[in-house]
Amino acid sequence: MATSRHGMHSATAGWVDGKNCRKLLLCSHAVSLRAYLPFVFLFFVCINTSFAAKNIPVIVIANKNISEKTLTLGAVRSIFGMRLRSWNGGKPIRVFVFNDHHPLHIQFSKKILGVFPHQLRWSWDRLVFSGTGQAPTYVKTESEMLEYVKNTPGAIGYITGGQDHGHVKELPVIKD
Amino acid sequence: MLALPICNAYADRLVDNMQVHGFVSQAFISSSDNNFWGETSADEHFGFSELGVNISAQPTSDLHLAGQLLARRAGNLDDGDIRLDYVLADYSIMSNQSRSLGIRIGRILHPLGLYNETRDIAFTRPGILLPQSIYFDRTRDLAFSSDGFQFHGEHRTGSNEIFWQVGSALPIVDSPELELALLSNDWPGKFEPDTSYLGRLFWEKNGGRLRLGLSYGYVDMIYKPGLLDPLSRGHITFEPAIFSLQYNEEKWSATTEYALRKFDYKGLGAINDQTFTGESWYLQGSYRATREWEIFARYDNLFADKGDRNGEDYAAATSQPAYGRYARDFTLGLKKVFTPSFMVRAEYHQVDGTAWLSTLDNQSPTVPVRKWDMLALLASYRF
Repeated sequence: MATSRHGMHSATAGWVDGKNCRKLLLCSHAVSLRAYLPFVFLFFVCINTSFAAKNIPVIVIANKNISEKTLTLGAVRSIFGMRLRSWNGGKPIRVFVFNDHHPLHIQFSKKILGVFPHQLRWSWDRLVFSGTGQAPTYVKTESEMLEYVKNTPGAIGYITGGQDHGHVKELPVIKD
Repeated sequence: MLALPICNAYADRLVDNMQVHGFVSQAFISSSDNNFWGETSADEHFGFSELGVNISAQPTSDLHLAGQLLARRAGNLDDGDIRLDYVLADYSIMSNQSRSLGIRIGRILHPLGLYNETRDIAFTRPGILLPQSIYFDRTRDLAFSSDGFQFHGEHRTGSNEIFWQVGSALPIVDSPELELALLSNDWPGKFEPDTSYLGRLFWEKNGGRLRLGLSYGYVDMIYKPGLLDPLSRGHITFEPAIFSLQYNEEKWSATTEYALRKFDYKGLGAINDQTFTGESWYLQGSYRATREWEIFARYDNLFADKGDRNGEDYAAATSQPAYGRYARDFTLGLKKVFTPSFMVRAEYHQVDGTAWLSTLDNQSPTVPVRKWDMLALLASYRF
């Protein structure tokens, strides 16, 4: 009745040998070296690739009821990464963003946060679908953004710089 | 009476920031000879679908509640019954701009590697299938979540961030495939969970431009013999260690993970005490050509026993084929994003070896065969 270590992990069904390559969809198996070619391709052909970024000035804005006057880069990254949930003093943070493909979102992600939109999206999905965090709230237009940030306690968002934002607070980001 | 306004404020806040999200995916799979998620080498091509809904709320700024229900069909492994993936309360012990510390209690997803916690969400996977050498589908339930607690923390300095989780839990060991995977047979007894430990440490540079991580688990199961059982009461412990490395650029990402999986069998009577270590690794590159199109390639390698990589010792001792002890999977894939909520994927796998195939999906005496391939399509929607 004794089963050796090699008795582990085998299938219960009988295995039939010598039927390899019977009806493969594509019947060739030079997996070893050829497998690496696409990686070589990916690494060397595609390295110099960045989407042409239009230079839109973008600033971080927040609701006037928060006490912070500036934010460190680390803090603004963890706020928009949805991992820092409260301001100093315990007020909950409410994050507003445009959708992944919005030019201002792309600009904000890359120029202010220094991360790519696909990284932010991955982080948010991880939080939302593993039960460890929440997604930001999406707005469609800059006037909607200003309206939400003005009216929601603890709100933070971003807009194009150089416009009137008298009802919200601008938060300069300090490189730490 | 005094409590009423406070309760109302609490309830308002609960509803105010409550979020509901979900996803639904359906695959089409066609394979040669061997089956994956249904009789895919014959005429069952739609054997895989998943539907999940989660809800979360933050009633106070230091408390986070969340739960997710999942219905999953996967060939003979999963029948589509609704299950509780996770339900947890997460209390923040401290949190400021440079560090945080918290504790989660409930059914918690295992922090293993880059993809384990989000393995069911097609949008977060790098392909239709995760690299099977590390993220086995046949033992999904054991790997996925367990009931217990977990401490977690973050430390931020400049462009560096450190994330860690450490927890203890009772693993989920009641899936029918697990006994086949670990004991080669459906014996009269069953597994019961014993106290297990899991931890992960990740260092990230520039918001995840570079990720470097190490995950470790000590998972303990007790085999409880049934009637007329040739096996006796014993333990199987499983210790996975996964090293993860990822680099992200705007248009491309490169990922590799290397895992050692140590198994220890003790006191099972008819099955000798033994220790062996499996080895897994993959290399993966994806390229986002445009906003809509992404291609990816992966080479994934699994050895059931790194002391016997080609399976020949095993074959000599058991007269079972050596190719059941390894699998080399070369995959090419394509993703088309229609909207941020809807996408379609296609991928082609060319596989040498059968080590990660499920027994339940490959019961015919003519399978599995060594060299096989598979074409998969998947549509996924999320909200």
